[in-house]
Amino acid sequence: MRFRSKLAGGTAWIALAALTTAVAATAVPVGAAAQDNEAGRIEKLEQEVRQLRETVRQLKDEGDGEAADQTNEVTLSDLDSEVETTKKRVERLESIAQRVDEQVGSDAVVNAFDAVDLNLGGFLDLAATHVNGEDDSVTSFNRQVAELLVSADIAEDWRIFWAQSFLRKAGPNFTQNPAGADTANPDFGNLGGAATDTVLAWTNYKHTDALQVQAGRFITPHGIVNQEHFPATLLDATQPQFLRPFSGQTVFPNFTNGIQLHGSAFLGGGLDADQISYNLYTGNFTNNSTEFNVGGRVAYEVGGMGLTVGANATYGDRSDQRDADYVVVGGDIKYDSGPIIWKNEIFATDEDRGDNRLGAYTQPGYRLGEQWTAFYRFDYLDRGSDPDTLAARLESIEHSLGVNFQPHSNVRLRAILRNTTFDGPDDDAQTAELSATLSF
Amino acid sequence: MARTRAAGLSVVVAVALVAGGLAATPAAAAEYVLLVNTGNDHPSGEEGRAMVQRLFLKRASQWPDGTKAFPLDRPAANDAHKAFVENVLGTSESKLQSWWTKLKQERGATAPRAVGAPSLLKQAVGMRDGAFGFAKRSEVAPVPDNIRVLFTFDGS
Repeated sequence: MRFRSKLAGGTAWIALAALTTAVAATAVPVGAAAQDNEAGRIEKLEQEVRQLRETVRQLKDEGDGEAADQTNEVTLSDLDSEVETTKKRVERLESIAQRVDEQVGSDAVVNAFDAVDLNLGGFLDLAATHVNGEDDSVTSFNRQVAELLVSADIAEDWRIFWAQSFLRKAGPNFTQNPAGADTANPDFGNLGGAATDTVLAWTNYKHTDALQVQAGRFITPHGIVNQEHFPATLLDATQPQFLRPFSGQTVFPNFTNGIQLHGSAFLGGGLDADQISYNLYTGNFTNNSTEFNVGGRVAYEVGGMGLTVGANATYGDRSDQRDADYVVVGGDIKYDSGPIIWKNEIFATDEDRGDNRLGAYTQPGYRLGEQWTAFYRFDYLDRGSDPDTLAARLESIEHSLGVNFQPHSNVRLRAILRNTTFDGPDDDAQTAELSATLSF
Repeated sequence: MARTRAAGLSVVVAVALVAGGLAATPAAAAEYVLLVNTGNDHPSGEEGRAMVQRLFLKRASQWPDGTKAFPLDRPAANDAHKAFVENVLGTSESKLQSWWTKLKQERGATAPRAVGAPSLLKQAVGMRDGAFGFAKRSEVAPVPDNIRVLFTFDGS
């Protein structure tokens, strides 16, 4: 491009040289006629000079334009920079490909037969417990629960969730079998071999966030701890008394085989908008498969405050042997803000047959930094009476004090001291429990 | 000579004062951007921020126009992730992990996928309606035509 400028400049000089030569070669004759001729030649020369000047000017303009164009064209340094950027991107992509290759390896890859998304998870929950009764004490590695969780999105709005438990566990006898327990002589019963339990197996259709349908075996949607359910998230894997034994119906059935409508909606669009949620279900309790329970919960979360208030109600029949209808009403309040996590629940029953039941607890917790949480729980339970035999059941109060340590988000270690006081037999028992829940 | 020395000292003092002032000035907070796909009409301002918070935590699953949300995260060690957790979600990393554990086990839901490379993040947001992610502004400039900045937020 610079060559064209040089050519233009050279051409101008050649033109001037030609002009000069032309002037020199042109002899000026003397005399009047000669003067006329001279005037004409001079005029002609002047015209040629003007043309040459115009040509030089045009050539100069073209040269300037080419110089200007050169500033908009890609230079070698621009290309170098582009190549460097591309090289870095390629290196990053190669690094990602290498990491994926390391994870996938050279073995066979697992595929889902038909699923938009398939997730596998689970947890291991272990405990060692010492119970000191009035007359005897006992120690055992009493809990080993391995639970596998599978979640499959079979279409955009359809999900299957399945929780299969492989468990080998036994709680203290006054928890597992309060009707026949000798509270002065605690025992864990026979751990036996491993048992499998389909804890949950439901399918969920989401029409919108506010309208969803869930069917199968699901957690009965009452309260706080029953819905949170999984040990990995609980400060105390030994749930409040009214939820023991696991899969029982001390106050309401912990699990329901049936169908429920549920959903939630935000009231407003701001950062502190409140949220309302609901559950409405019907189904059977596992040990009472011909009688239907109907119930629900409405909860209101105050936006920006970490406060959730719930109201619960259910109607059912406790026995398939005789009429033993019951109604449960209950409330729950959870406050979770900053370092404080405080859960409260109360449930009362009206029994057609036998004594009414009442269960309540309050559990304040305090987060001591990112890894430690301390908690206390006051827990009261009046178990009423057996609906079939009408035999009175234990009434008990528990005080629990514990700490949780999470060295990693998937590891929860606990140390808990518990004092259980029974009314009826005037006994009490002290429990020390070390437990660990590891999840993935 | 004395006037020259005085002038020289004045210059030294002035330089020292300026240097001290510069040292005392805190570094400007890094600017992060929340990127959305331009395929939908998303609210901006506080409403947009609230919606991003709900959708990322999976407390809601759709944008106001009904588009299914597709949130994207960054690796936990990434500065953008830390700034997002603190300044947009308004929580801590440990509470966030507890939330995902709870969601995983109660609903079978998982945390948003973490995307490492900013170039891949731009591609992922650009190719899906309802997708959103976040990054340092300098990592994703210039922003391509198929994505836009919904809002900005500061770092720690």
